Amino acid sequence: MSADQASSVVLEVDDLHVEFVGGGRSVKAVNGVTFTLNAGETLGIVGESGSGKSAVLRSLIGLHTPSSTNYRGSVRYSGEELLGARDGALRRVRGAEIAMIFQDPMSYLNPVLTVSEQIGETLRRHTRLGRQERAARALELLRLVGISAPEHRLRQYPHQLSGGMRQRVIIAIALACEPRVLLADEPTTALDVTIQNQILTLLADLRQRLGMSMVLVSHDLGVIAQTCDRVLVMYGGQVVELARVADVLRLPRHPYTAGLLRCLPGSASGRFLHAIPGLPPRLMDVPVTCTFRPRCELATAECESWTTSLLEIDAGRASRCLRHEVVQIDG
Amino acid sequence: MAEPAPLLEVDGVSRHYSVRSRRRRDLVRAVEDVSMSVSRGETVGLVGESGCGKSTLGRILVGLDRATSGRVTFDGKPLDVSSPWAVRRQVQIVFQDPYASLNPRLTAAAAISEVLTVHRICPKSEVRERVIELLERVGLKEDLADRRPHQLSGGERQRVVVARALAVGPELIVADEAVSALDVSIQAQILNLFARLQDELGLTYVFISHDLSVIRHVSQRLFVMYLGRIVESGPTDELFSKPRHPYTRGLLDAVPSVDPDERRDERSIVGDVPNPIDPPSGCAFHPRCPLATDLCASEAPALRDTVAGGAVACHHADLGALSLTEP
Repeated sequence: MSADQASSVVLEVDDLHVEFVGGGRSVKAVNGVTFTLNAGETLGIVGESGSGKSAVLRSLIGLHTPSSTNYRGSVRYSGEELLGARDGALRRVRGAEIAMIFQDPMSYLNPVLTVSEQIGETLRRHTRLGRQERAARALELLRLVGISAPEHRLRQYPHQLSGGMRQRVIIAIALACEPRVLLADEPTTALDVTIQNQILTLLADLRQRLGMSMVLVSHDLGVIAQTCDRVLVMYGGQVVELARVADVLRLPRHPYTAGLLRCLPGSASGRFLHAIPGLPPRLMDVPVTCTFRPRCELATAECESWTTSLLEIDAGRASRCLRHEVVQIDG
Repeated sequence: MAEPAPLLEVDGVSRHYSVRSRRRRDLVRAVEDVSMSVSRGETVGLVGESGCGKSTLGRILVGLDRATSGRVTFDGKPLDVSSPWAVRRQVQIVFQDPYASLNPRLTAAAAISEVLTVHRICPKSEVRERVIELLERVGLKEDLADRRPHQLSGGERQRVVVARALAVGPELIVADEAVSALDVSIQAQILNLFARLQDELGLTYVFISHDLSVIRHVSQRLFVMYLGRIVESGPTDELFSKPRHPYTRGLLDAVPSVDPDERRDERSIVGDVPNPIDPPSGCAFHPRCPLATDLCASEAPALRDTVAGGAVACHHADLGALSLTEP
């Protein structure tokens, strides 16, 4: 990445809060997330179920049901505010400027439309291409994502494709309008490891060739390690650590990140793995103090009263832990 | 050390399904000529991609499915699938999704006591006491006993499922992707539970998983399946350090490492798993194999013993150390 690119910010998220309401209850899924996405960069978001990682991603392009979602904060794309923007404005950005791919390709493809029709739909909505130009572009896109016999595949329906092939079609649709940002929500979680490897290779290659930025959400630290430049570690709807991927994995500066790394089978030589005791916090009522404290082995009396914030501990590196200096990866 | 008689012996087991469409009748060979043995107290891993037949084999081991041909022997006697009651006292299975394995209307205690009553494990008066004992054994406190599945976390549900499996006092537990749906911090807790139970009760496990790091952690011996057949087997450490089958090697290379210095091998295995209705000729792996030759397309390789106490089905397996990454 050149210095010029590094300084150009594509997406700016500031103090994002997302709350889901309904049935007289509310769930505070995202509680003050701030980050920027630079041009050409791949940013990872890692966390366990309920950490708010997918909720952040969906909020960026307003995919949550408006009537049951409360947003606070700001999401700016090229200076334009997207959070709470009108539908028309969002639709112009979605698919054209910022595209998204999901975990389960089958449920995002229309089972009664051919591959050609599904790619054509996106092109019709966002471009002025004619029917034949759309068909030509669809063919070109399938080649781009490495689908063999693309002429034949264009006429097929989703059920006639393998899981890996479906994900390639989803990626082709996402790339149809050459977006500047690709949001990927667990894009390889439903796939076998050999196919996952192929898709990750494809995404890395496309990102470079098309100069896209990418936000990749995954629960899998290995996937993050192999694809991302920087990573946000999320817990209880907050960012607990932010740094370059290699730094986080070599020298985590939050006890939750260190705990996650120690949990991985293969990290322990003995018969028993390190496990983080207890359960993640319930998101009905999120305290201003540290949400990880009840499960933390480093917690002290001081932690009980500390109103947490993301502490900058180094250039481009932050941790939401008072005791970040004593965090160790090996117990 | 003399080799003790195996607890479980699988001998030439196949499972074929006939698939009928309007025009034709096809045969899917979901499991083809699989043999394996599992010693008492051992953990054996079964690994492979979707559709390789690992779950079908697991279901056959617990009598949920019948082999089309071949034999399964448990503790020296044939596994009698015509008498499921007896089989279930010997072998139990734990599935991936505990929410789907539990009746949403039964409390944890009710789910377990049902098993105790149906199998007449203990007199009615002792059921509650026994339930609490089982819950404690899997690390659940008594106050969770009267909760229903939706009031439990994913990890707690899987503990209830394990407690229920233990209720009949089985010797062998088949764990079919038993930790795959869990977050890593919870996954570690459940893997530790399995290890502790094995130490305490002398259980034998067959661990089925697509996750190579889980399999590596739990199992002493490993069987790798591809399109219904075992393509490689052997001691786990040996298979991980010196895979002899190009498929095993490719699987290992495809796992993204958390070590940022260790780059993924981007070329590992190309293409998709072939359609099992119409498998490739010769070696089923040859269309995706970087070492394939004409021989591979025409002749299926036999499973041959290796010096390391394993076996491998590849024409080129004895070419010394396999290397897919070098030019």
